[in-house]
Amino acid sequence: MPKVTDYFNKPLNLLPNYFKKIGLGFILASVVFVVSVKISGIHLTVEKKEMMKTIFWDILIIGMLFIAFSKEKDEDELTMLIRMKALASAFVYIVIFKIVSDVFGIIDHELIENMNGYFFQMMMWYFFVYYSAKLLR
Amino acid sequence: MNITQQELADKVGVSRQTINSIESNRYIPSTTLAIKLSNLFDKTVNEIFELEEWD
Repeated sequence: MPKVTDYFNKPLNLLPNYFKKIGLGFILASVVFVVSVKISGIHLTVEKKEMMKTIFWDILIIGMLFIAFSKEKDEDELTMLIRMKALASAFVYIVIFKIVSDVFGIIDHELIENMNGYFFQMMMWYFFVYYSAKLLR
Repeated sequence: MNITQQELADKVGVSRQTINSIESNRYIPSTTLAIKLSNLFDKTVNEIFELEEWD
C-alpha cells in the first residue's frame, strides 16, 4: 500500500521523453488535417465543419499535453520546479483572462468562443513560461 | 576537488544548468541534492551552503 509520504516526496509522474516527438507529430497532423481539408475545397455541411473543428482542436491539445507532460532529456528537480511554476502561472493566467475577456466583451472572438480556445491559450502560456524559465536557469 | 560542472552534475544526477544555477545563487537545491553534494565533497551541508540574510 502506498504511503502518504510517497505522494509528497515522489516527483510528478511524467511521460517518457519520446512523447515530445509524438506530441509534435499530433500538432503537425492537426495542422495538416485542417490545411488539407481547406485545400481540397470539399463542401462541408455545418455539422461536418463543427466535427472537423473538434477533431482539429482535440488532436492539437493532446499533442500539446504530450509535450508539456513528458520528461526533458535533462530532467531533474529544477526542471520539475520550473514545470510546477509554469503550470501554476498558466492556471492563474487563464482565470484572469476569462474574467478580463468577460468584462471587456471580447469573449465572442472566434479563437476563444469555446473551451478549446481557453485550453490552447493556457498551454501556450505554459510553454512560454516554462521554456523562458528553462532558458534563464 | 578539480571537477567540471558537467562531471559534478553527472555524479549527483542533475543537469549542468542546475549546478550552474546553484553556484550562481539562482537556485536553492533540495535537501536530497544538498546531501549528495556534501557526501561527494566530504563536507557537511553547512560547510557548503549558508543562509542568506533574507532566509
